[in-house]
Amino acid sequence: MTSIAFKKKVSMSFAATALLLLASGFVFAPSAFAATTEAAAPGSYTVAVICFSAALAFGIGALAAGLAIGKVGSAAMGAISERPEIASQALIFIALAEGLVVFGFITALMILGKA
Amino acid sequence: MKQNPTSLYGFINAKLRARIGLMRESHIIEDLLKAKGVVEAVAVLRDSAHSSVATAYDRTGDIQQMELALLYNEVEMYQEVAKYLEGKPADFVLNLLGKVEVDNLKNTIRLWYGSIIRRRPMRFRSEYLFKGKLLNDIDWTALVNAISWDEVCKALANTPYSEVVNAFTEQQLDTEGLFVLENKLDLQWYEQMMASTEKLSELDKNVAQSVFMVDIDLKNLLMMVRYGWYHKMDKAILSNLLMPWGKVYKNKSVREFVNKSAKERDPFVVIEKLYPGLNEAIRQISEDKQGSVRQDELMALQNLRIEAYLHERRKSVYRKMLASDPFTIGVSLAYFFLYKEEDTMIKAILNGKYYGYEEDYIRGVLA
Repeated sequence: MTSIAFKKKVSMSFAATALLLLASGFVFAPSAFAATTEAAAPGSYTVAVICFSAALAFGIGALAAGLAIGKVGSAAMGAISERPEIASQALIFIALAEGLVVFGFITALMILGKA
Repeated sequence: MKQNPTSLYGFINAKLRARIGLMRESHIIEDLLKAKGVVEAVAVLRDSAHSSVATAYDRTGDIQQMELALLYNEVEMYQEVAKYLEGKPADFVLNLLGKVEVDNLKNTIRLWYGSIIRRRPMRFRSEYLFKGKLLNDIDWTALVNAISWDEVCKALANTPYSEVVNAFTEQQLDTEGLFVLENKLDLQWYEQMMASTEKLSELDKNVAQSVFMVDIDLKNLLMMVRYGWYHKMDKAILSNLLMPWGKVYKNKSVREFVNKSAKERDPFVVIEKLYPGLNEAIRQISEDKQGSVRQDELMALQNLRIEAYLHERRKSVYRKMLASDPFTIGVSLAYFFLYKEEDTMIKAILNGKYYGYEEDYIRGVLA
């Protein structure tokens, strides 16, 4: 497999992961909200907006993290292939990108808590 | 589709930066210098990234086969970097490989010239030539075995070099030598490279051209001093030799220098205007060595000083590249430069050891 094909495959895997996370944000956020706010009037416009906002916060965070990890990860792999001893340092940068989805998740929870 | 520089250069530039880091940490040059002889130097290479060079020596015991192995490594280096890039930047890197092809072609033609025109027994040297595919489909075996200039032209018929070689005749080469032909081949490569830089993104184009301009200025300056002043070459030939780019070529005083009669030319006036620091250093050499060395030796020392000065300038351009935007072609260019610099040093040290020179003497030559 050529390096370009490998890079494309890695990017596609990251994009697929990000899309999966985005989709899960849309699917699970309303049910999670419904479980925690049974008292809220079902079908109200406000509830829909809150759910949508939470899903958006989580989904965009996940998408951004996917893109960032794709780029940071590919550079990290390049550097590690030449100098394996820097693997732990490279992983720190990947973790920083990973943090984006955590922020998105926390924001989504905070939004859901407002309801 | 225009590619995002982060995606395009992220992987390869991180890889090359890691290699540059390893190169800087490596003690290979120091260890080679300290080696007691060729055998010890080969042992140093055996445990390094240049192990194929040591293998070549083990197989043949021939120092020139080691140089050929280094050339093979250099070709692989360009091909590997091009493989990790896409589109125009990949084409650009492959075009850089064209310089290796042009140099190999010049060596092959020199071999043909030596054996056919000058009738020297040097055909055996063809085993030190690169015979694989570089950029164009060149039949190296047909070139090496050519017995007339027509056969050389025929072997190069479907290549970009066809037009250049066809402009010369065997008789012309016999009387004038290969100098003008070789210069035309170099000029053609520079033309290709300048055209290739035009196709890059604005940022890459600026980076690549800044490197080429320093290179072209070096060539033009040396040409002016060596051929315009020392060899007193005719105005018509000299103006054709200069590369039509860079600050040296565009400078008014250079045009005046070329247009003057050979006896009236003074390169120091031009150098003073373009590189005042260099002029001072050259004058210092003249003052220190006048009378103690022959005129041609003095000239060689001055040439070496110019080369060293411009090499330093080139080095500073690459250093600046490594410290600037990490997502440009600059990192690859800096890596090529550092790799070739290391290669040149290895070749010089191996030759020095082979001919039995002392460590201090080789150090002096490298400096």
